[in-house]
Amino acid sequence: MSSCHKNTISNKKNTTKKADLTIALAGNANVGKSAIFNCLTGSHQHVGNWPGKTVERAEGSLRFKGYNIDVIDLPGIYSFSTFSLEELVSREYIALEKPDVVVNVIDACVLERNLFFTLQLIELQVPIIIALNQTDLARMKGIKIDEKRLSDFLGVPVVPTVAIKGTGVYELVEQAIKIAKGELEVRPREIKYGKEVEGRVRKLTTLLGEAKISYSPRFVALKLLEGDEEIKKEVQSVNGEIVKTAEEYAEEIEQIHGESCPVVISSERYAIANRVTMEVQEAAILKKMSFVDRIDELATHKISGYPLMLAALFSVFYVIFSFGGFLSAIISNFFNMFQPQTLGVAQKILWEGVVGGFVAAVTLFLPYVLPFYLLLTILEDSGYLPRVAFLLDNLMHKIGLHGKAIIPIILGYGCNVPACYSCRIMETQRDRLIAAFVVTFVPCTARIIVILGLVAAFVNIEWAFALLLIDLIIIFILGRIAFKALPGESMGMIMELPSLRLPSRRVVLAQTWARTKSIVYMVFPIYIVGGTILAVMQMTGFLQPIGALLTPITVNWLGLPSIVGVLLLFGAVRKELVVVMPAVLFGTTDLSKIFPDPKQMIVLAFVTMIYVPCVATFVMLKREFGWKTASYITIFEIVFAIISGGILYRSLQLLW
Amino acid sequence: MRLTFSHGQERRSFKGKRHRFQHRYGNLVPITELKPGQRGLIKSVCGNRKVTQRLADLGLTPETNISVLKSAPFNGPIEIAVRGSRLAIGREIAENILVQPKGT
Repeated sequence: MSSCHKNTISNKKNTTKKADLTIALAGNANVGKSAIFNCLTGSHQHVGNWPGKTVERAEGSLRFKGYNIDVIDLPGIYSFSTFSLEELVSREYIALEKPDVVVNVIDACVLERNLFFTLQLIELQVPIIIALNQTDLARMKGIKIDEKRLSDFLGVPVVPTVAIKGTGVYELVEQAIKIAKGELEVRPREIKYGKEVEGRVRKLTTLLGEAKISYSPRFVALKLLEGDEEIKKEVQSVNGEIVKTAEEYAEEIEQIHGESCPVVISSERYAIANRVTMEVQEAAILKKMSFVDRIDELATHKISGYPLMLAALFSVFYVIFSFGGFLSAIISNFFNMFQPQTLGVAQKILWEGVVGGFVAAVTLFLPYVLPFYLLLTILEDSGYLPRVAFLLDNLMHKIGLHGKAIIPIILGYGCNVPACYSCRIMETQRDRLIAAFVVTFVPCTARIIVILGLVAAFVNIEWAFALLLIDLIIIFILGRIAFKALPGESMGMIMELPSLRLPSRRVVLAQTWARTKSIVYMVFPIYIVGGTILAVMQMTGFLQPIGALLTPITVNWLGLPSIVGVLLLFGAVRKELVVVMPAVLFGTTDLSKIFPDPKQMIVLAFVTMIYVPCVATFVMLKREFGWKTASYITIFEIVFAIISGGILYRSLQLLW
Repeated sequence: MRLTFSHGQERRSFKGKRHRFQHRYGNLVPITELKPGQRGLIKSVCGNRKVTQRLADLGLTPETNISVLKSAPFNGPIEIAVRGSRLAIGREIAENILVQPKGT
């Protein structure tokens, strides 16, 4: 399939046998770790052009020259402090799990900042090899790096790579194995700090000498000076004296330099990174702005940026609403030609449940989801999302978040589950919770299918857009209330802006396929099983009592037919079932026969959009924030949807 | 009293201390006051420790050259170039990054 898999690299999905070797990928955010990971393991770890995609480590495996190799993709980090969860996770993994070799992936375009992290890896004293990635992009920017010299300076092997094309990855693995097997000895040069820091680090290292700590003594000494709480705790339990000495030393360094100790250490580390960079890198100053730079200029421009953003996002929806509707109609007509006329009971269940569920899935799901994911992936891979975050930072402040929160929100239009997960790019727990709460109101593909299938198809496209707009207003208002109501700290935005690039066709297609596939695998069985259960319930007369039970809400308050009660119950599993199931019940995809009044379509679409996060989203919320929070959010949304749905119904009656 | 990098958990902001800063360093301004394209030499970063540490990790350490590339409208973030990378920094954080301005 791709150039990374030539020669003897072959992929294995399930490792039953214990792996011979473990390789961990570590480095800054957005340097291509996941691209290398995918290339090695043939899996489809989320790749995109924004920092912070990998929030938890991903594992995969690879067979190479007879070795079974486990590959671990660590989240991207800039440092090994304990201020963020990702940094702690990566640090503990490297120090405690002791992978046989750590592949430090560095971005050739931003060598100096990447080396700042490399120097810390060297301090951890683990076997490392450097993958100098994105060398093609660097060349285009006029940056030339002498990798031989870089390798000599650091005492670490360096392999240039272009991960998205698979270039250099074979050699990288070859070298990594040699290091892991001890055939190639890596002796990183010791990094010396200024004499005030260096002297104290050495003294602390000697003091630590015998103590049993999971990290290397030099690393611990430096972290003690930086005031790292986790390390302090660990050392405290072994020898409290050392912590006290370190605190005194840190105080002394502050006195000498007039800056806090962590800043002094960071400055000196950066000074070393800078010196190495100057020695190995030649950067030509490019006078001419490239085509992509020009687009970037327009995309973040204070005047042209906003209309461009609106146009980009609006056109995504417009294309899908019109194209999806058109394609869906064709498929639906095609299937309806085969509708059999006379059936026995068993066949009826089979036909209406299995075939009905399948048809509904194909007609509603594929025409919409596939193109949507394609466009979303293009937006992601181009690096446009961080630009949107830049432009909307101020708006997001109104709901107590900063610009980065727009990324989960936009991803939420695809599927709420990964979107809730990506809320981890927010720095504090409170920001994560507000962002996730807001995300559950974002109409995902499933909900847009409902809007599309009910409103755009049978009322008009303007009302479909109006519902999306109403939803945005609700998001904004509720976000603001949550921001006012929730206690806790918030942090401003600090975000790297990755280079804008023309999306790579290979990455976009692979990613779109991976996402669509994962949803299709999950959804088709649910449709078919759901369809069958519903058909059986209909035959056995279970539907009427359930519908009747919910009549006060559905009929009296929301003005909908009583069957809606059943539909909404199914919809909690997957929201599209609300429009898929009528096809099973009534054997037609023409929903206007069930909902004769267009107002009912609008109300049902609205309630479905809001009333509850689907089961998968609930599970994700529970995982991220616990049972209690997930339940509160769910209960709130049910109550809110019912109340506001009824209000909407009454307002529509007045207007129409 | 030392006014440079704060290392406590409390927020110390530049607002209201400007006078004293100027007394100590001469002509220091927050990067929000630089024009797009203008360069500056970082002299001090205030704010809570988590923020200053993150900024230092990204290369915003004292005596580092930065240049302002763009500033988003409606009090939006500032885009700067530092050590070969581009960062978007929210205004409330940017106001606490003090530089000695250089010519455009």
